[in-house]
Amino acid sequence: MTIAEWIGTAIILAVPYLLVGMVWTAIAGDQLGWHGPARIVSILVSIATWPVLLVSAVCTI
Amino acid sequence: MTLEDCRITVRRRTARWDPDESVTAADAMDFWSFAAGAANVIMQLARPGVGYGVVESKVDSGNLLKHPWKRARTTFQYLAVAIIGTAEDRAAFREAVNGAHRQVKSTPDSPVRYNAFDRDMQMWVAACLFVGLEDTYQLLRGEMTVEQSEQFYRSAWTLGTTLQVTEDQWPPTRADFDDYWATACGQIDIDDRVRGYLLDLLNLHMINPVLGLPFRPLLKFLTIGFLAPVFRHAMGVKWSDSKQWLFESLFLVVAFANRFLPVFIRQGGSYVLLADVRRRVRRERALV
Repeated sequence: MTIAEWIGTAIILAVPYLLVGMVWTAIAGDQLGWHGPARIVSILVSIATWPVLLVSAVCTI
Repeated sequence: MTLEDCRITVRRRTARWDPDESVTAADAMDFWSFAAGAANVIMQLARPGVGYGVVESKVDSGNLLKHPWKRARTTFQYLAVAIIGTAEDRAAFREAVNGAHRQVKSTPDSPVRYNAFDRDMQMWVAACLFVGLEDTYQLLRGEMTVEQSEQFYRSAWTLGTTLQVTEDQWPPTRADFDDYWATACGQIDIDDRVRGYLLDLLNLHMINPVLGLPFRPLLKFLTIGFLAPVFRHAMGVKWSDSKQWLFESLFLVVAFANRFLPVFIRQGGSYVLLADVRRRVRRERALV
């Protein structure tokens, strides 16, 4: 594969992953602490690491 | 007739990223290439022997206007088999197509003599397919060098040899093909009956209007864009400099986006169709 194709593949995989992360954060975002700029960071971390948060959320039920 | 009359002229096309790479016709199987499909049907049927062979055909199962989706599948499968298939795939498909072609011959009432096994007619159809692949490939990947053009051309001969066309029917070099094409285009003639059939195709009369209506303007634009002046004239359709600018701009954008698509997305459809051919052969189901 060319570098462009690797970039394209990464985008194709990243878009649905981040969309799920946004949905997850919107639904379960009330768990996020902090306020102000730190809250923005926590939202971005939540979008990026939603599978980990999902597992931990399920395990604490 | 000059090449400017019988090939599309593209003034702005994407730059070539790999001028030293070797190429084959298999590289042209990106799904965008199907945008030239309807134009290719028009080119093929512009030769009266092919046009009347299709319009008068009694093989209903392969009739584009009666079974458009099936016909699309079998046509694209033919391309997949011819270009990326094995010798066994080609032999199986040849046998199936021969079965349909045996029923395609003119009657005393036909205005034109034709026979689907006519090797000259098959060579014309294969030449149209080659021209379509070369045009779309160069729009998507940039203009080939002389050496690449020769490799691409030689690798596309299976478009004809999968059926009854022999290797010595193909002009030996890519430059010789230009001569063949210019001469062959002198024999095109679309009369009212064949034009009516082709306009039905272009207006998507064969599919559900709910699905067809939104796509009709795009299909017409792409189809006329992929037709060389001699075919546009024969069809009686209009083209303009502004549409040509739009056509070239569209393919500059598509070519850029296409660079980022991995091969399994660009060409996955053709491999799925080829897998379906092999599955049908294994299960002894009809190919066409």
